[in-house]
Amino acid sequence: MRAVCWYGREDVRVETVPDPALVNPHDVIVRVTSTAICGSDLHLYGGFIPTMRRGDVLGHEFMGRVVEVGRDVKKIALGQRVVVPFTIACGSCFFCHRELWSLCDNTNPNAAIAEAAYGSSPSGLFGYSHMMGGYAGGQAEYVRVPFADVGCLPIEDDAIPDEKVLFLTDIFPTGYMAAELCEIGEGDTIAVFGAGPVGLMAAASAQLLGAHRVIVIDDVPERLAMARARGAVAIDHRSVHLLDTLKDITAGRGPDACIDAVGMEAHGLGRADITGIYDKAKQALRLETDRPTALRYAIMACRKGGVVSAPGVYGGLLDKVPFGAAFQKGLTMRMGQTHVHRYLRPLFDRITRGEIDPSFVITHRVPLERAPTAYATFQRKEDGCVKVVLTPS
Amino acid sequence: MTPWQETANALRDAAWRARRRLERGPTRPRLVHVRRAVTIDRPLTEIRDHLRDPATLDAALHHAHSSAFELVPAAPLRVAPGSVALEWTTESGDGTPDRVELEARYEAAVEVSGTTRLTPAPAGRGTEVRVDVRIVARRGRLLALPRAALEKLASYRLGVELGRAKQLLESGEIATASTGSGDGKEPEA
Repeated sequence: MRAVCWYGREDVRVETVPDPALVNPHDVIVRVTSTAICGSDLHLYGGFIPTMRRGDVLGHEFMGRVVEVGRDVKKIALGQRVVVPFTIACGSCFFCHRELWSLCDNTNPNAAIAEAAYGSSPSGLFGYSHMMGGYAGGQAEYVRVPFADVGCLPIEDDAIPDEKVLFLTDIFPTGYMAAELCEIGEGDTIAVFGAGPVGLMAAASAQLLGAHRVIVIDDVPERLAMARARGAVAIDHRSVHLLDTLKDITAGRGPDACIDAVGMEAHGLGRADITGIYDKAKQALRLETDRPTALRYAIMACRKGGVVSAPGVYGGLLDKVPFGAAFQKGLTMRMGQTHVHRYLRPLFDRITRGEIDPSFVITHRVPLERAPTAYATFQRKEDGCVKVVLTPS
Repeated sequence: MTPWQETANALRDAAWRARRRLERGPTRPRLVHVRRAVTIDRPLTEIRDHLRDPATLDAALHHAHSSAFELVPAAPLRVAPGSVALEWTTESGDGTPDRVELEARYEAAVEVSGTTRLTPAPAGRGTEVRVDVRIVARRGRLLALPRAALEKLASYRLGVELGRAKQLLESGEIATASTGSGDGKEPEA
């Protein structure tokens, strides 16, 4: 089969690789009909995630039809059209029983590596390094899906296009959980740092959950325009003093909750922002793994007693995080990989009820064979690129 | 002398001592003791029944205890295939229903014995499984390994194998990534 393979920093190739096979009794094989490049794939592309190996198949946002079924699979049938969460969960452990699906105890075959890095291992992930399990990803013609009964959401209605439900795999639940963690109340203002696909989904979700006002911060005009078109207050941080502006909009109080939808690769707030330069220098010297500009600003901007919610991916060690500010302001900090399984059905229902169509973020649709170009375009934010959907031939 | 030179000298001395220990052959037995615990989200009775079933013992805690032997295939401890003489005895410990003791011998080079204790976790949160493994190395290359390294390696392997036993008991399978692609192997030319 053809698959998008990682070969090193800014080097992905579409290669012919062996077809996946059933390994365990709860597996299915899915023929991928649509797959997407996630912002967090760019962390792999940029070489920021350790334990990648040459030839690894990328991709954790995908859907398709089941073409092979393991002997112990009960709920998923051959030929069924399914959406697959990016996290892999067994459905049987302490964490799955508590709907903390992305913390599943039993799906990371390389849990010891993650334990050494983090103290405990999260669940396995598709196409996201060997520390997260070494599972082949879904930017391919076929993919093996473990624990299919637990993860796969069947889409019975063939009239629903892939693009409308594809983002149930990751970015829609991720944005939604980020907003839900803010515990949005009446009259709340939510500030979203980063207007990439997850930031836009978080903004849309905050609106769905009843936020009075949603502020989106970025420096890419077309992304800000997309946020503005959906009713958010869009701020280009290059043209204002960000903290003063947020105070001004909220009449001195600050946003009730701040969502960091940027994560480990923040670029800083322009030339005048010394922290951005500092982070890049430290990261280049391997003295820091992540560049947490957005997190710093989220903490500083948030009102006293507010919530900082971080769906943006962090992988290692962060420097100069104003934890004193977080402490003195009594902030609640919430974060983590998305418990996608928890949100699949409720968000699918919101889509079918017409409350939201997540496909609004798609700007590029290309064949799988053109994935290397699409990765480069997405990373450089060229050509108005916000979200790329790949279609295997 | 610079700190770098001091470090280099210390490493060289340690290597020399290890080589000497190997050359000397049998010496005082080395004993290490490792302990790991895991909480399995299943009732104690289910795990106990599972352990008492000889067919599944192999797949669960037998597997966990045998991790000690997987020290042997590790690079510095390799022995020839076929030289393994493994004998297990399983018995109930002190007559209490929540205790299983396992004992095994690996040739004469390594003796491994272990104890597994099962305790109900608080508030119905499954069962706490505590495994103690005692390894006595009497001869062979195991003796060349510093005690701390041996303990770390044994603890790591025991943790991995306990994780697998937990996966098997909770989810019915051991998580496996290899599918013929995406396992880090470059496609054949």
